Amino acid sequence: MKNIYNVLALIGFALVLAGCQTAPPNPVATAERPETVGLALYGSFVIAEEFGAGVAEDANTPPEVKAAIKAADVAVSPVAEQAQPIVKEVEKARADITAGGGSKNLLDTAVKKLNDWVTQAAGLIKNFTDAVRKARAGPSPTSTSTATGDIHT
Amino acid sequence: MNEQTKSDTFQLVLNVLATLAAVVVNPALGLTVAGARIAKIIQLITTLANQGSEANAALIDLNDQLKGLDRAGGPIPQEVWDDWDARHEAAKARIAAA
Repeated sequence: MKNIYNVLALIGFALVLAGCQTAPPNPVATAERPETVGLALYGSFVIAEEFGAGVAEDANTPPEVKAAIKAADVAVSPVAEQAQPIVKEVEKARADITAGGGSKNLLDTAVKKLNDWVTQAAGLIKNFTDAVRKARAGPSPTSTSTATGDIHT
Repeated sequence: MNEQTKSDTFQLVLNVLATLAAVVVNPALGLTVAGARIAKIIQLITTLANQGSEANAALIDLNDQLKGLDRAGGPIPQEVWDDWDARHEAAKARIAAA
């Protein structure tokens, strides 16, 4: 009989957990400029990485899942870390135009490079979040953030 | 919450209930074993729920930060990058050490 009360208590607990979740925002969709799209994707990745770190540190996470998270993080980190220099190229090209120098072509080239980075990073970030999701870890912070179209100047 | 996440959460709940049902109907499991198993599952759910909540809050903060940056225009301040880089390095180190 005591077990029945345990079951009822846990059902209630589980339903509360399921009901409390709300839709996470999509920073990549919120960003209005190529520069902020770059930061949005990088920031979303960092949040996913922090979430993944918690999962990897959990004693209940299977060793193979931890290994997959580590491998995915090693693969995505060097690419993610290119966000800042690539965004700064866009900012410089835009500033040069504003200052009366530079050219639209240079800005277009910089934005294309940022687009290419977003495409490459989004794939690797998805691999990372997939590795985390294998631990049945609930919300996947970047899962709604990688569906980006081309960035335009 | 997107559909995949809803599915993951629901699956997690179902797994918990299935495990508990097995505990209830299987007299071979002693109370100590059953209790330990339930405690472990609850601990895992609580940990994941807390992490999910923190991630959601962090996404909201990032969203607000982006809105502010777009309103202000101009280059993204260096301290913004430095903050995200520091968080990235910390998370990377935690994963490597896990």
